[in-house]
Amino acid sequence: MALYTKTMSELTAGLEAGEFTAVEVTESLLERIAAHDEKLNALITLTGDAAVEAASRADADRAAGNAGALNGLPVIHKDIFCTRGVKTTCGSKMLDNFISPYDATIVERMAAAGAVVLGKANMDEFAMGSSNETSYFGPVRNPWDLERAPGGSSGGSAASVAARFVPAATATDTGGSIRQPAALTNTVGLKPTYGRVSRFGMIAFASSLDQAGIITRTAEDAARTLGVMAGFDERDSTSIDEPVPNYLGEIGDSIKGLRVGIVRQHFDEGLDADCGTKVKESIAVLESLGATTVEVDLPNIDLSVPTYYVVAPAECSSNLSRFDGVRFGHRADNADDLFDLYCRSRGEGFGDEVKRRIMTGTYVLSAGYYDAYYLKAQQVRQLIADDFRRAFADVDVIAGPTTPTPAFKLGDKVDDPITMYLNDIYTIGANLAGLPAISVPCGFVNDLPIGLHLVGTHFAESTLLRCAHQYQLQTDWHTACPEDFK
Amino acid sequence: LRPDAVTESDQRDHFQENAPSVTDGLYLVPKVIE
Repeated sequence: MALYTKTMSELTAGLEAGEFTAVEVTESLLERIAAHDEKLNALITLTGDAAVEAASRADADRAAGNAGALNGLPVIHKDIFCTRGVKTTCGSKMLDNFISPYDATIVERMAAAGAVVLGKANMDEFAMGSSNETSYFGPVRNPWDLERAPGGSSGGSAASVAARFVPAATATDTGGSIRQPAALTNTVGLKPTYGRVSRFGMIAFASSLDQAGIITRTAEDAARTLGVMAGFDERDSTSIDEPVPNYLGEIGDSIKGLRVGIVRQHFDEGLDADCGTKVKESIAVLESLGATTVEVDLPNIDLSVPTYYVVAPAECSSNLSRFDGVRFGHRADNADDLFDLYCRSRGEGFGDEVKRRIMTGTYVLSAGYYDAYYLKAQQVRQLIADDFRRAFADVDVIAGPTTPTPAFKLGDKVDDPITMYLNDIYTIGANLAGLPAISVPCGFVNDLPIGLHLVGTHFAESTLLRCAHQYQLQTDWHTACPEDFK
Repeated sequence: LRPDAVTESDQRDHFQENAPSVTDGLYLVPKVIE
């Protein structure tokens, strides 16, 4: 069995048994990326030399009996995470020249656990997009069909895992940016509870919604990685000081008696009929494992997309004001005065979608409009969160489709922002309510993968991972590999 | 209360490596006051 096909658990077993070394794994995956990434454009930066050094340190640690939880395991970081001494672009021309002076907390924690970073993944500019087409570095292609989008914004992370470049890649999720690309590439995408994973060193988009997570091929690997990423960080004021459970240890427990809620509204019009059938079949698999299903109602869930597109742009307009061409990032040449420097640096550095959201956000926050838009959106957001709270009185997880359709063609939706925004219709609710959620491969429609979406209560990552793992033990969708990448 | 001790070290030069224009530890911008 080739090294690139192995999951983190399989690699760990092989490293423990001495069948291969971390350096061998790293070198073989680097070769694979070099041979195949031209087709996908999944990576912005490769860190091959540093990776081989880190792998040889991991081998030495293992020989000395100090192997961490991720010892010798290759990963790719989404280019939204700051990596010391390595270019960190966030998919934008604005940061094309930015060498981060420090490491994000999750980068630090994963390195301390022995992970080997092979590179930085392409993404939608500042994580704003659902197709990876807003990246300054060009779109990522879907390994399942090179004419199609891999989803976004964590499209490079998802494509890298789907194409077997790495068994795991970090990602971030503001409205579905982990789960939607995971669903469209046949990978597992976990968005933890708001506050579960530190965001220190993660470039901010919408701070009340952003959360860091992971894309893998199995729930087991997601559990292994989350165990390292999660936990309190005093450098992130939204980080919550809750003990981190033994995710990997709890994953094998049965889901007998688990109450699964089916949202009536999620199977209405808008959902591709074949996707609906596949998702219902996957819920039947959970029932065969002893779970019971209950229909639940989220009466305000239809308002989640418009609510999100007030809250997220408002926060983005505020967060992105730091990019002014003075202290770091792109600066326009020959500015006449300071105002000209600000205007032209930002005008040249940001792409169209980022500008659209900054302008929308600035508008909804402007004097006289704040109460009508931003305040109102926050009130609706509370109603949506209350809907979830009521639903979780009767159920343990809520199941449904991750996306309304399988992967769409590159170029199909990029000129129509509203259609593009509707891609996240099933995922945005979890961000507005701060809930953890996971997407698991659950079948193919027209030879393209789709995902089963599971949402849990706050800090119920362990339940989600267990449910996804038990489902994966019964199904083999996640083992399917795209033809061009076998 | 945490101890009243300095926790940050001086990294000005390191942080200014990304700045488009710097002199003597100061960020340079076009003239603001005529």
